[in-house]
Amino acid sequence: MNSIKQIFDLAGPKEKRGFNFHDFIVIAALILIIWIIGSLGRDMTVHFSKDDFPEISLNYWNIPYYAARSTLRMFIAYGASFFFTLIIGYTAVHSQRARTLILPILDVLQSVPVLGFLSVTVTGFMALFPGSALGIEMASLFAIFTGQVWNMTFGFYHSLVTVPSDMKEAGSVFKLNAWQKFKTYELPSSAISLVWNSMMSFGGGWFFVVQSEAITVLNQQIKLPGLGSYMALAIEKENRTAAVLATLTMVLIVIITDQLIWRPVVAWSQKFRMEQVESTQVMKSWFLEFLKKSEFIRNFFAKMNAAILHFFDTFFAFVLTKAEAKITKRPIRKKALDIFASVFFVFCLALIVYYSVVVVREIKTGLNLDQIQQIFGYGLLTMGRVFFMVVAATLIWTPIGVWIGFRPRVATFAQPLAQIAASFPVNMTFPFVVGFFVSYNVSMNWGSILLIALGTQWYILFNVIAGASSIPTDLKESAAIFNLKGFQLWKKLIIPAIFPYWVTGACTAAGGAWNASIVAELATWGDKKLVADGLGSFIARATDKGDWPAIFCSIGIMSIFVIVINKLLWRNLYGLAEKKFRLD
Amino acid sequence: MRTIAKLENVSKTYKLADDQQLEVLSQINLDVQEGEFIALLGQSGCGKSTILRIMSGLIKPTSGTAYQYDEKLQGINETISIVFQSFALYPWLTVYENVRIGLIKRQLSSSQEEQEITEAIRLIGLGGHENAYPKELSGGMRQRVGFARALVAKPEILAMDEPFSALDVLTAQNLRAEVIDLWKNKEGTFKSAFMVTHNISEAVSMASKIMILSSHPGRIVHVIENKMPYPRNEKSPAFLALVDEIHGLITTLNLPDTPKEHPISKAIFENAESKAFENIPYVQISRILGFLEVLKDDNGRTKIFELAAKMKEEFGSVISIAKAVEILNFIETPGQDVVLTELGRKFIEAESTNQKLIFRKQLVLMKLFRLIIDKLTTLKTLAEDDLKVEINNRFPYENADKMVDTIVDWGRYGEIFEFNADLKVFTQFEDSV
Repeated sequence: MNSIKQIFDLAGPKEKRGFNFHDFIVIAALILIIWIIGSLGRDMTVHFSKDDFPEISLNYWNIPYYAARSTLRMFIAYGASFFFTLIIGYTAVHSQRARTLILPILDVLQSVPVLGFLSVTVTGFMALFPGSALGIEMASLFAIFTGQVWNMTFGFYHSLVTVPSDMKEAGSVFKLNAWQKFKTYELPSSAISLVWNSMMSFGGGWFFVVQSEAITVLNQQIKLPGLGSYMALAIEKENRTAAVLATLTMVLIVIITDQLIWRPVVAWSQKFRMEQVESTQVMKSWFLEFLKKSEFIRNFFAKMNAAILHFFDTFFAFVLTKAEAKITKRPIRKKALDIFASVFFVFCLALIVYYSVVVVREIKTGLNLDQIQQIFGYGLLTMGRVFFMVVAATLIWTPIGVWIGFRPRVATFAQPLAQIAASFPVNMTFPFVVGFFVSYNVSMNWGSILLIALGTQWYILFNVIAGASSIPTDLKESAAIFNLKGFQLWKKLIIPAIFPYWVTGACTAAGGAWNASIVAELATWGDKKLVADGLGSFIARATDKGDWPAIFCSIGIMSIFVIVINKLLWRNLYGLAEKKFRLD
Repeated sequence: MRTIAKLENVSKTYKLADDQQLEVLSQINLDVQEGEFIALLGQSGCGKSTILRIMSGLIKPTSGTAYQYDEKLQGINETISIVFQSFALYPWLTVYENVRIGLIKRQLSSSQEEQEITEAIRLIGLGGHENAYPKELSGGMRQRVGFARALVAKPEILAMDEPFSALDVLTAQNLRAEVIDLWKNKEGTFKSAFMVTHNISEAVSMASKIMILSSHPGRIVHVIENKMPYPRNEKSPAFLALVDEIHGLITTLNLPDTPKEHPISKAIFENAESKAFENIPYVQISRILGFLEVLKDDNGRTKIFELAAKMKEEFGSVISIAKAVEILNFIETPGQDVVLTELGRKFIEAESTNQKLIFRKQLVLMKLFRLIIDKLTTLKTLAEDDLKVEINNRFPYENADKMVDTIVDWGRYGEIFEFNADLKVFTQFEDSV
């Protein structure tokens, strides 16, 4: 058994070999990585106060260091998201009481524009760690974390719910304990979804890194050393070379993490497919192949895996026997647990109510009805932009995506490219686009739609590609035999077949667009400032000024917009896709 | 002899949507004693697998008690191992690792573990495949892994849920013989067996005791001791006679001559009003047509299990088809025979438009379709849910969802009504051509 052994066991059949060239490279790389992480980590806790914080320097030779700091942030936040996902997803599946609390909260948090909260959380975290950069560091990590975690948790929850019942029954009949069930089938059967969602979330995270490193809170400029703040400074100083270099570095990092981390992991996770037959289409990664050739790496993973497993096996054997003994001896314990859960539930509820009251009072004293109406009007404007973007991107990318999807060779090449494009933090392209808008006199009210689209349209593209390439050959053949062409072919075959994929893509794009609007409706280059009327720019300006009533009210209204549209539009479209257009 | 597991007055009711309930098992009493090989025989959907799961502690009964030895069962019954119809192997684990799952609860030292796993793998004929993944194996080999995993747990009772039904005929035959050999001749494998199956000759060839389960709700209606010596010869007269006897029992259970419904079920389960309503079995039109085609080729009269053999269908489902065709008055079923009626012959020989007309006439005679037609003439539309409520009131032991599916299938073919699957409503049939 030991599927965690599987999880860490990269090796195929074992063969004895001596120390080889691959081993040398791998070991050297490992030492280098450990050294880098060590020195970067030390820098995260440096002294930091209002009047004295580390200056960002535009020296080009600093770029690798800043890039490393940003990347480290990504990984720490991702690690937190990963453990949060495992713990919360697991709890939601196994405890009825927790589920009734967790699922609605996740649902709301998923819809809330994270960026809007940045200033709130920064203030909070700074108070927690006075005099240290750690506070701001934590706020940045928290922003990245909240951008990644919700869809990972939902994905994990859903794959745990859909574990085939015979696997669960076999686990119960053979009396596996909770930990053994988890490592034998719960984690492995969710591995593919977990890996996929991780890759998507990680890709989306770059946007938040760039944004959260350089922020203005209460008229105070705060810059954490990183690629995002380097970019921000380059914009401030109108240093075009520095901006271009930062952008190129970002592209490079996105490609490197994709090639060296996510592709190998995705390729490796294919072993957890549910099918009982060997699949013909195999995901490949050159880097995984390379690693497999290293004897050292194989031993390393095997040893690490054995150690981790041994630790958890012993740990849970101890904990679970204790817990079992207590539960059977004293059933009151279980009751105590229930009471504790209820108290916690009430506590959370009270907290929510209390803060709602505080926020409402704050809004009431700071804003009058006209202002609230105006903010609502801004919401409508931004909503218009989001919809316009979705429609335009659909019209442009659907034919292209279908063309690509019908050609498997092009698709295997183009789909990863679209994913990488979606990972690239679009806020890094703004300076160039803004220059373009200025010189061609493009109104920001329309231009911001393009900025929003730059980051989010890719979700539509690669989902359409996926949908088009999944159309079964027999359906295409029968369409050819009955001579379906042009409009008829689209109406009868293509649109119904890609519809479910399009819904997924469009919903993700629209969700991302709301967050992007906070950045995209207000762009600067040196002293030049382009502002569009909309909820996004309103939030951005309110945050800069530290106008709390306006911040609360505008974020609240944006959340309501997103939640209502989710419930009214996307949920129904998902239902329609599920019911009518399933290809099985 | 010692009783290893026992069910006492066990019933199981499932809650459906809209506060409806479906009783799948009613008053089940059975025990598994040391040295017994019990086969539980019944049609699909009659609750056989639920009995197995209640016995092993995976499902809790709604009422009644399950026992492990003479103690009330708490949680999982540790003396039972299950072999699953779908194998239930973990695709990311090798054969060796999958088998090891069965061993975990015994908490052995690792050297002992290795010894026992190797032994079980050898015993079940998987030697050399230790490091293979399930997807690399054929169905038969996969089920061997299932058996090895179950045996390595050293169960008192080997419980099997349709263990051979996903395998091809020859593989199944072979594996059956090996299982019997393990049970009879190998010490320390398992003492008793409890197998759920719909295959009559499988039950006769393996079991020492055969229990026949009725459907809707499931209850044990016959218990047959099978004292034939092992290994059993499927061609021997005694074997064939027992198979015939069971065929007969199942036929009379499902297609009684008089009265129309089984006496027990008529008396207990159905109130006065529902008697008038035909209990429509879940059978699709295409299967009705196929059944009548085969029957016509047999000159319109044959034994029902011969028909099943000709159709290459399992006996239970052919019984269901016969039930449906009998409700339509296309056949009669005296004893174990099936006889094509005059109407049936006319129907099957007609060309397709006339077939529809004849079918339609028969549907209109049926109370349930009459009810739908009446509602449609007065109200124009009828919601699926309303119909389900009607059905549930009349047939509390039937699955209303499935019955509505059948009604839709028949009604569409007979052009009695139209059904919109999106809106879930019935509307009057309109001749659009």
